[in-house]
Amino acid sequence: MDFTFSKEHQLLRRAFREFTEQEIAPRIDEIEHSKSGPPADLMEKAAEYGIFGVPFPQKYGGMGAGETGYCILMEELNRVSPSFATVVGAHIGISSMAIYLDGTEEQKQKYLVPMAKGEKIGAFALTEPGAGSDAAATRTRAVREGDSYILDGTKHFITNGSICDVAVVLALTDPALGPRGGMTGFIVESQWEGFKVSKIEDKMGIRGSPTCEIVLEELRVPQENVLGPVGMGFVTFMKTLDVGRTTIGAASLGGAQYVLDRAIEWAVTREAFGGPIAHKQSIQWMIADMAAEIEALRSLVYRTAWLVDTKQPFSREAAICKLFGSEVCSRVTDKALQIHGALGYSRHMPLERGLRDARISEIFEGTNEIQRIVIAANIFQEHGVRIHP
Amino acid sequence: MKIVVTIKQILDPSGFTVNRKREKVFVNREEYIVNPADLNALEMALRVKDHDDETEVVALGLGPPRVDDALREAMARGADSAVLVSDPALPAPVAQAQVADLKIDAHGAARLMAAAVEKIGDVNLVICGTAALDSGAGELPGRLAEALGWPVLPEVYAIDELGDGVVRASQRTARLEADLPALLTVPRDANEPRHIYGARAINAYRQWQVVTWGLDDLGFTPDDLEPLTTVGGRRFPPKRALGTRLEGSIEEAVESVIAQLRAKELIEG
Ligand SMILES: Cc1cc2nc3c(=O)[nH]c(=O)nc-3n(C[C@H](O)[C@H](O)[C@H](O)COP(=O)(O)OP(=O)(O)OC[C@H]3O[C@@H](n4cnc5c(N)ncnc54)[C@H](O)[C@@H]3O)c2cc1C
Repeated sequence: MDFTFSKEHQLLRRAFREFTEQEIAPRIDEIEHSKSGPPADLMEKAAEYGIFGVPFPQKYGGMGAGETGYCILMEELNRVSPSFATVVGAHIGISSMAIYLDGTEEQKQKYLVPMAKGEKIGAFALTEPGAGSDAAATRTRAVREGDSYILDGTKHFITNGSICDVAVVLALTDPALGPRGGMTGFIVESQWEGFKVSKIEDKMGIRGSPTCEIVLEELRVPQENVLGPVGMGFVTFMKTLDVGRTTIGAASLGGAQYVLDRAIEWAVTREAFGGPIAHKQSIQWMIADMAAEIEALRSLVYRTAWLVDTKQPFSREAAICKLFGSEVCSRVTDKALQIHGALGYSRHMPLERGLRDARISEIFEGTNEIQRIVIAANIFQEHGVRIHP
Repeated sequence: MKIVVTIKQILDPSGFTVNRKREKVFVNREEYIVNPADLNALEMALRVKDHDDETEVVALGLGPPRVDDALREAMARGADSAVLVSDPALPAPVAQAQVADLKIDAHGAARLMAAAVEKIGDVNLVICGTAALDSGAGELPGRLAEALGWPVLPEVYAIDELGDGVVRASQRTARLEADLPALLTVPRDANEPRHIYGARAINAYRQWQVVTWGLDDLGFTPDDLEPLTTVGGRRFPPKRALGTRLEGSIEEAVESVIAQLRAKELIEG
């Protein structure tokens, strides 16, 4: 057993730290107040340094840093800007990833390569007004017409919807079969006629990442843009979410570690009753509890990344990463805010935003209730019992 | 154009604390970074390369095997290749805090590096950071130019022209010109060094090699490196007086600065 990061991953962490601190941190306000995603020049710079293709092989324009490298990226991005991390996470972790996992070689050349290079931005369009946790209730229709499919339907809460060039979309090709053979994935280009952004959500947190409602109206998709085998889209989309989950744990780790660092700094400088508040046992215990949870999360995240990189089963661990990580980040941020007292509640400090930003990870990419179902399903399956949501 | 950039690895200053009372330096985290001014030197070389595909940038380091990491970082930032001069016979360089143990001086280091530059071959330009953050001596670049017999252009902010056997470069207040090959030094505020390219960081360890040359390879024996200078002892630098902090609005602060300068007769009127 060896718990040290490889030299290249250590250098990569420094690369990401340098980028986030020098390029992203000074522009947090700009990012948070933007309705159209992070500033274009920042996106271009991130692309130049390879940030949009971290886990993918270099032959597809990526960095070749694997799941471990991708987790390091999400950890570092989320320390500084969960909004930016969300934009990148939706782009890499679910949209590009779907094409990487199930796309044909031509689709990879045409879409994955420019996406990994950051020349095209991706979105993952699964959720619908009537189909959230219950993705099997997807209503968006895809009807075959010659060598194309015509898509009609509404997707909502789609990250990057308004800034994407490419979206992977799940639609019903055979309503009679539903998720078992009747749903198909499509690769859609946002400038095609019939792709419309109908709303940009006004959200509690990650306000710098655009979350959109997308209406598909008689959108014609050529047959070569079917993602994976016809009828197998539900599997593609679920499999993609599986891979993405570990990295939500990684992002949560970065966010939690960042606020712990702030809390420690504050505890040793803020004085009350004749000395630094670090001398108060209640503060010490909060710091100790935060550090303990973060340490457990770190081991969990990188062990799961190792499972993914070494091609071992990881589904249960990935769901645990997402569940535990998101809750640790919320708990730790809440304590860090408490340690800061009134200042923690102020908009001038990153704690208030941290708390709003952390909350999303308990909801998206499968709510934490759904994660518990996934974990339990995995456990019971090992005992020959199948459970359903 | 072939450009060599010298890369020094130093202890990360954020990893140690200074106890003035006990006159001790405590290394809390032994981590190493590339000397900041050397990143400015590298940036200057890479800007030449940005405009000319034919340009080759070689990172050159000296020290124990761990300097390998600093050279791979230079490659991750854009250097084409890297050479490390390292030999078990060289005393292990130590943190600046223990500099008295250093047995090879800048003279010896410069002669070794000059031999490496000659062995690399066909080098048109050597670019060095003006000074290292740890020693702050700034002794090496001049000695290296001397060992090579090349002209040195110190404190260069930008290369204006390079080619046809000459280099024209701007200092802050003067423009200099020298025949190639030549050596430039670059201060820390000369430019904004680029970041580490992720894919190059991966390749720097998985695909690329750092060429290592020992004393033998460069035709030296340890006796050739007898230092010209030896460290006679150490002294804790005197405490620097902190400036005064001016409270109040910007206007009030400006007034106060002017008043104080007048009082010291540094300005008239
Ligand atoms: C900021 C943001 C960004 C998003 N980005 C994307 C994106 O890029 N792409 C995309 O496709 N989607 C995206 N989503 C949608 C997100 O994945 C869904 O909101 C989420 O899956 C939950 O679906 P829902 O909102 O419809 O809630 P529901 O499914 O309606 O759930 C409501 C509540 O019921 C619980 N519940 C539901 N079913 C069960 C059950 N079987 N057992 C126990 N409890 C249950 C849920 O946990 C939840 O607490 C995003 C959402 C947000 C807020």
